[in-house]
Amino acid sequence: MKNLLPASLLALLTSNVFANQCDINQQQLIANYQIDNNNVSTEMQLVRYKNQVAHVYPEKNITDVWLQYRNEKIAMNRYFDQPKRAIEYQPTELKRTVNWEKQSQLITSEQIKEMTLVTEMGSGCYKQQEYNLTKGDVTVRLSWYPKLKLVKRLHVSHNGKNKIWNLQNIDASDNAVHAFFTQRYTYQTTDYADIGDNESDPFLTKMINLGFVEHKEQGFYNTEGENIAGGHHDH
Amino acid sequence: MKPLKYLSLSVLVALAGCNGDDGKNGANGTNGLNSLVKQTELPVGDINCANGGIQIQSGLDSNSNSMLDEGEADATEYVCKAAVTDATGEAIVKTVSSPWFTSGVDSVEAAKTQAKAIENIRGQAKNVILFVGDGMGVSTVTAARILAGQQMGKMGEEHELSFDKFPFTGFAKTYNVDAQTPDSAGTMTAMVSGVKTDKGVIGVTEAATYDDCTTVSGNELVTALELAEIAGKSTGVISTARITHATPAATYAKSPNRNWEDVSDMDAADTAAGCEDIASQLVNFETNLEAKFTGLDVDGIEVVLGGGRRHFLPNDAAFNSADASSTVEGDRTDGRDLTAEWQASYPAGNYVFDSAGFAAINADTTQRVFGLFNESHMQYEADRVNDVAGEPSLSEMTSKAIDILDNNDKGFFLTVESGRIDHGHHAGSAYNALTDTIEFAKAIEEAVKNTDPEETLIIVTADHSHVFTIAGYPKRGNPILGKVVSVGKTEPSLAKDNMPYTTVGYTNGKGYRNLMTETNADATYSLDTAAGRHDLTSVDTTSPGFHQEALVPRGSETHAGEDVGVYAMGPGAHLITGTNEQSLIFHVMDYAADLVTLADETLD
Repeated sequence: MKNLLPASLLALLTSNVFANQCDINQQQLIANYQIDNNNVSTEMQLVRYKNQVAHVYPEKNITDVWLQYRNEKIAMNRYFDQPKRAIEYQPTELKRTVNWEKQSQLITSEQIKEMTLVTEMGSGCYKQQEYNLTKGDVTVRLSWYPKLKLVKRLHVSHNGKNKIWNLQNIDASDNAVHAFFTQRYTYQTTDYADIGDNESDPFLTKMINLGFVEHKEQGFYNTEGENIAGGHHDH
Repeated sequence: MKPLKYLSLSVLVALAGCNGDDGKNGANGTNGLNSLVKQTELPVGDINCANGGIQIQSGLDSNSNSMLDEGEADATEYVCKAAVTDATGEAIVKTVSSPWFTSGVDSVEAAKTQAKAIENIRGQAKNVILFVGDGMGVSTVTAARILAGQQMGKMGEEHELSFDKFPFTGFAKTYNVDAQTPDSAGTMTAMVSGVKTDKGVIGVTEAATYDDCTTVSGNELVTALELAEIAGKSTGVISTARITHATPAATYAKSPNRNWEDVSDMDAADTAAGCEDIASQLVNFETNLEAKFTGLDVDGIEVVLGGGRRHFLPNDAAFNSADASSTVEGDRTDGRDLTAEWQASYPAGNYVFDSAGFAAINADTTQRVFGLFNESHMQYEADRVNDVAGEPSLSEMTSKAIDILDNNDKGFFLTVESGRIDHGHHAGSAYNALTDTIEFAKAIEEAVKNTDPEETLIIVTADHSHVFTIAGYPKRGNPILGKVVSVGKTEPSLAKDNMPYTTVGYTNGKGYRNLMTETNADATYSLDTAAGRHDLTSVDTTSPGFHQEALVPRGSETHAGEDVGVYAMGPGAHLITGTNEQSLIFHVMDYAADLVTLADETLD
């Protein structure tokens, strides 16, 4: 017994080990956010599954799924949930490279590094870090789950305007994530390159002014082809 | 004008006296008037002397100023120079010694030689190759020619693409039976079947109804590829689009809807009614053709190369190719792996899906190859280096296909489509459309180099055009993708709105984009429609990502309805002349290779 650690020390070490463990697979989860943009509230769902990240905009019935290819190129499929149709986009060239971390986490590691870590709290999956940054007239306050690589709360202030992302809940069950993607795989897809040859398709005719995500979120369109831009999460 | 020459004559009148004493002298009379003659040299082009000469006027100097003034001339004559009767001499040296002139003389001589060599004999072509540049209208050809020349350091306009050198050229009217501005399905059906049909249908007559399976039976057309197959020739289909896309599909499939590329694109009612998806028809081509003709035994299409792998694989990640990009590559909902079915039907054949597999094909020993190099369309030529597992170029595919197909003593029939010129234009990207056209021209060059012109008919054409224009008054050698800079100037011309403008543009489409080095034209759909004028002063319009301005805002640029060029060389090529229905192309191929006769002989 002389080789055993004291119980108190053992207990302390054990609790620390478990405190650092997280049994949620951060590469497979559904995170539900509420976004307050100058007092206008919307919802967004962030879904991760292997090499795919989905952003769901329930009010607009649109789901954007980003796919990272083996050669690091990123493609995007836009799913229109009501008509169950999807448009597939091929990877774009590097000058317009989509930042995979930004899509997957809503904030990049580089951006976090710029901030000042104020405090840490919690343990395991829900270990939480608090960051602040003031840069010019922009103020950022971030609550971050490092194990989950998820924003818990992000508040960006700029010239009196405020945008806040609040994590509502997380669902990391296999069934939920699989069901999410399985449902959308059944949609009829059209390559964007083929739209020009398919104007007789009523859905594609409506979508003739289809938007897309550029280096910042913009240009969302409903199934009537109307620009419904809003709910941006650029910062 | 030379100094006037004056001739002045004084006429003295002597009065003769009578015999007898001289009387007293009378008073002196008044002096008479001088007659004057005035000569004026006439220049070439004078109304009285076309080749120049001299005008001679005569009259009395009534005001005695020793000059023949206006009004004093009472007679005018002309001595004109004789017309030039020989095209020699100093007068025309400048003309006949000009390189333009001598080039024209040489061209006429070459044309005369070509005309003399024409043999109106049916069936002289052992091989037929039909090249289709999807969306490659005349303005696209002109602009691609200039770009290709400029990429070689030339001024550009004087450059020749490979098929510019073909001796015979005509025009094809591209309209579909039900559409003034056509689509690829109806147009390619016309070219390979000799029958014009409706928009959106493949391999069936206008009596069939779009999207209605029940109207197909009895309205199927026979294609040149099928006739060649029956005749015992080797056959091949190549495209940089999906191999199930409209243009290649029209050579081997029958469908009332061009979008039925695999079973998941069809309603249950359509499959229940007996319609087969396009991908399945490709793999079952041999079986289907033999079923149509009693006792027929063919060996199937020897070369199939293109994109569209997803239509041949089940919707199951377990069937993903080694270079799959998507999580689940295949689209088929019937569980069929058509690549495996093809391999089972042709155990000695080679199924390949990347550039390494393609490169490993030995054309001397390979009997048959089935290559699907992308889940969907193959890359634009400008983007090809970005493909996950690598893709062969159109010219590489054409060269290898010919090497395989020409192993058959009876010859071959091959169609080659550059399928993404069309996509580049739809996205409003002249760069991608033109660079794909240049690669298309290289593929044609490969065919010219690797075939015997005495026994190979090569036809190059487009299925339809696009609303792509070359406008303004740029100076010679101005970058074709650049802003208009006029003759004698160095700065771009400004329009009435005080902004510069590009030489090339689109009548409609999503309009201005400045995506810098972006080379995937499909990225244009990422932005709001931005038709109309934009200040291009600080924009590099020659960069790959630039998309030209468009006049009419639309989500996608459209096809155009004007005639397209048809360029031909080889036996029967002389029949490509004048302006004809697009369906004539089939009949030229049939005449040149005697396809119907040979097929009938086999069936008999």
